[in-house]
Amino acid sequence: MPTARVTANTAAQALFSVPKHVVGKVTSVKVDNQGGAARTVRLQDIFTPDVSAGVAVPSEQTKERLQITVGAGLTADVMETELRDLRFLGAVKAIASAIDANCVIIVGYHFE
Amino acid sequence: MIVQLSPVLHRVTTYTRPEDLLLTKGAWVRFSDLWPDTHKWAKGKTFVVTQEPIIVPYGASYVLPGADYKDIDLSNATAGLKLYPENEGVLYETLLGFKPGDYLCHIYIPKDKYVYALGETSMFPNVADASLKYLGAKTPLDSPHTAPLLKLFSIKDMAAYILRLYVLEGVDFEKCSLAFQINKCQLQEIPNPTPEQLTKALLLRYYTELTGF
Repeated sequence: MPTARVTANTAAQALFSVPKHVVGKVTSVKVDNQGGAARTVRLQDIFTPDVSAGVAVPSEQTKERLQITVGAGLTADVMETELRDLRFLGAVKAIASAIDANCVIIVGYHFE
Repeated sequence: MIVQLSPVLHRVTTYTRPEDLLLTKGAWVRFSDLWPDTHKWAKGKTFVVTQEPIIVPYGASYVLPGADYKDIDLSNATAGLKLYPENEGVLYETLLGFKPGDYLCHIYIPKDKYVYALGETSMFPNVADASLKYLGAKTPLDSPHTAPLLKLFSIKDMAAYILRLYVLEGVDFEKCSLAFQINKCQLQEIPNPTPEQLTKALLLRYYTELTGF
């Protein structure tokens, strides 16, 4: 099962992209915050919908699917049961409350 | 023209899968007499499938907002998915399966002529109506992509199947994913079919025979 690793950044960091005919399922999220302050990490799902009957010119959407705050010097694991119902449709990115190379985010995922 | 196998076949898979029920070499098919003269090569005739099946998988997916819909044309029209044969004497038997999601699928043939209506004049599928949006609607459970139960038959220049994908209200956005298995069948006419062939051949009715009662 693939994983993706980024460090905390206030600019969205790409984790993975969901192929066209599947949805992305995140199976694990680990945030190892060895920095000097608490960090908040959010997982974003960025996609552009298709043209529909009601929307002739769809615009890019950014949806936040998960938010976690981890204290300084702590590691947090999000349980799989809490991730079970999350479905990602497009590009999955992580964005944090500060730039911190000592705060590592690792996400496990697969496609269905 | 449209066949939906019993969902029980989804579970009784020890010896038979829905895919095993596709037309194979030697199978007989018969087109009803109500096919129009534009399909003269097929109208009222009986055929045998002359080759082993050639099954072509394909997919289509659409991300749509909640309480909204999109019409998907399966024909070879410019804006269609182009899943129809291009030659006479060829029949495409297409299995249609749905990946899981909070959406419905209404089937029309041709555009705006719904298949799954009831006899009373107000009982037709309508995604704008809170109740009628569920009338005749197929859900992903009706034909799961792993064991598709919905079959659509098509020949060259036949009227277009339209799939109206409707994402349920209360859902932000949904990815509606369709999985097709297209069984390409080469047909050879049986000039003088026996009574047994006429009885046992798979009857393909014209779409006008699917409604109006």
